Amino acid sequence: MIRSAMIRILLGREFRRLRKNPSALMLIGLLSAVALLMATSRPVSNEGAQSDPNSATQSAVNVWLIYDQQSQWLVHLSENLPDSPTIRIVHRDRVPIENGTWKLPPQDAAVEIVYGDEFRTSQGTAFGKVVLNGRYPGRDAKVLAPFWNWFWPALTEYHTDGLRFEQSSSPLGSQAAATPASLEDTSVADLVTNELIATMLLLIVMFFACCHLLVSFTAQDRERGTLSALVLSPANTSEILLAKFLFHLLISLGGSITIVAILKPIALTQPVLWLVILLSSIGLMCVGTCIATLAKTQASAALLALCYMLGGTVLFYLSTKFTAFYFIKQLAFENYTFPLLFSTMKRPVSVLHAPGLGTMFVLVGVWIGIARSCFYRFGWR
Amino acid sequence: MSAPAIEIDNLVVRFGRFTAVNKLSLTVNEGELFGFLGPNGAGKTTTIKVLIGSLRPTSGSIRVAGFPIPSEFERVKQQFGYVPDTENHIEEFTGRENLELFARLYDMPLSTVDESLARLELSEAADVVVSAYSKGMRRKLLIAREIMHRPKILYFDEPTANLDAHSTEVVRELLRDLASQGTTIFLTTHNMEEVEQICDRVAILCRGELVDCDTPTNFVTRHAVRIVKAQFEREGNVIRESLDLDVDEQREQLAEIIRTEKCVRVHSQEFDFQDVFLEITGQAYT
Repeated sequence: MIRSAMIRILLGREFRRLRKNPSALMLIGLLSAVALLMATSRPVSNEGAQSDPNSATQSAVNVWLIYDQQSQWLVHLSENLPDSPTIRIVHRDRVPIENGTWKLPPQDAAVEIVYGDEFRTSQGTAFGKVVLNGRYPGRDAKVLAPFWNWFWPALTEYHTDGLRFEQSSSPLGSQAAATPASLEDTSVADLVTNELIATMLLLIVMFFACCHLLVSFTAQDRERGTLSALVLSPANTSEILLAKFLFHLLISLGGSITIVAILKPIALTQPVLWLVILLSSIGLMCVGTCIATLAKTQASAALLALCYMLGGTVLFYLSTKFTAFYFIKQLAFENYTFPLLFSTMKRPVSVLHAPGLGTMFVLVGVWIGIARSCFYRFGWR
Repeated sequence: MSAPAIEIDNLVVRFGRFTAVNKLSLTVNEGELFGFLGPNGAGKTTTIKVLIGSLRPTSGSIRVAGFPIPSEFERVKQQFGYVPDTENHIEEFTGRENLELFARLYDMPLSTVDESLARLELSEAADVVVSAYSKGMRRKLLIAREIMHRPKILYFDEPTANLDAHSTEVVRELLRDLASQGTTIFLTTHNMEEVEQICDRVAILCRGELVDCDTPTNFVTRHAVRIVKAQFEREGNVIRESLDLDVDEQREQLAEIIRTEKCVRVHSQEFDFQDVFLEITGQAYT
């Protein structure tokens, strides 16, 4: 039985504790300040472009994206084509050929999708290397920059988990580079958009408020015995846990609203964005609860939270290299958080994301069960 | 006879191969001030942890205020207070804020906060943050918190630890007062003087097993020794003799000393709970 009066009292206690120790929220304030500075400053790259009227990046050329095997991520890209440059996604058979070479309109560029030797599909998921051979007219590879600036963020929105993309560029009429170098012609800085930064900031806010702060506060309560004092009071375990969750959720939502309102106010109206934030926050709080209840001290709990974050990063990296890690990654709700957040920052979420959202629901549900069980068994004892 | 407030029947608590409490059976009546004694590691705190629902017993049954523990933990926990041996305050809060939080949780009027603070002589320090409190003040604040909701049963782990002589007397007086009002008090302590002074009944636990349980008066009767210590002068030397009145020869020897020697002091040996405790727990000095 959950009593609202108890929740109010316990929630009041959490806020009062925060008021006594406001430095706990310093990171969220710092991230909001970063967002504010971003929103009120002019982007450095634009200034550079304006100062160089001959910059090739200004002269967007039409690009033919040529494939020989249709896939879902290509469908996704075709649904999200930019206004500029003009991009045509065409099958190799439909590209005009003359004397064995492509005959494209003058000044048009091409990007050929080539699957690497390691490419394979397993249980409906594609794994391996995909090389994108950029072929540009003239001598300046930078004419492809607008294409890459659209391509990489758009690709990030889609789950291409098992695939590893590499990019190369060479002039039309020459042979494709034998050993393509990843991102050789695209500055990473050019790919960083406000949406991407906002997504990263949201992830940090959520991890900090829902995992790190919860772990720290709960482990402190446990170590000091405050948690057992509360459990022995008329408040029951569910009420104590719910009040903690509500408190950290409110901080997470508060921080998220601030950042989205500053960097991408239009996204405030996206219900799916808030659903993803809500689910991720709950998931992270469940992870935090498990860490806090299993750790013996506040110091070890903080260390475990850090290990969880670093371990997750390593897992995500290894999943691009090894199939086993790829499947483990599918069981992490965080796997679906980033693409969903990033997508909803840009536009209403498409049907293609429904499986990700559904999986997230299920995984967070499982975490709720685990966290509840951990807290009941070891939370205050 | 009053109804039992705490009933422990064949309680066994094991941690792996180690048996912390072994077949403990005990009944504590309502309004009783019950002392629970034992050397370190005897199983006292383990027993209290089972009673407050913090530890699940390996076997045996426990009823507190008529409710089985741990199955009815949620129903019974409002009826007891627990003063642990280490304080567990919210350090960032003042003493008053700590008590106000618990007053709200117990749905008690906030006036009880001031009453409790005054009773433990903490009114002046009420608005000071707990992190600035001394050990004794923290202890008193803990007691104030746990008596605030007027529990039927009060578990005390070392009630007067870290308290000065005056505060110790304040707490003992409080315990007597609460017991007279019908509160059952279950306390563990190492302070034998405290046991003798305030407890209605005392149980002694050793290596997880109950070795004795009786009133302090009965302990005195059962373990009292009829020994007289005589100190007298003979040829310029001070001689001390300890004579057992239950031994005929020694009784006559005492009469002879009093009649013939120049006695400096003659007195009976007082009952010492410490000696009895050590004897019972098998650690008596030889």
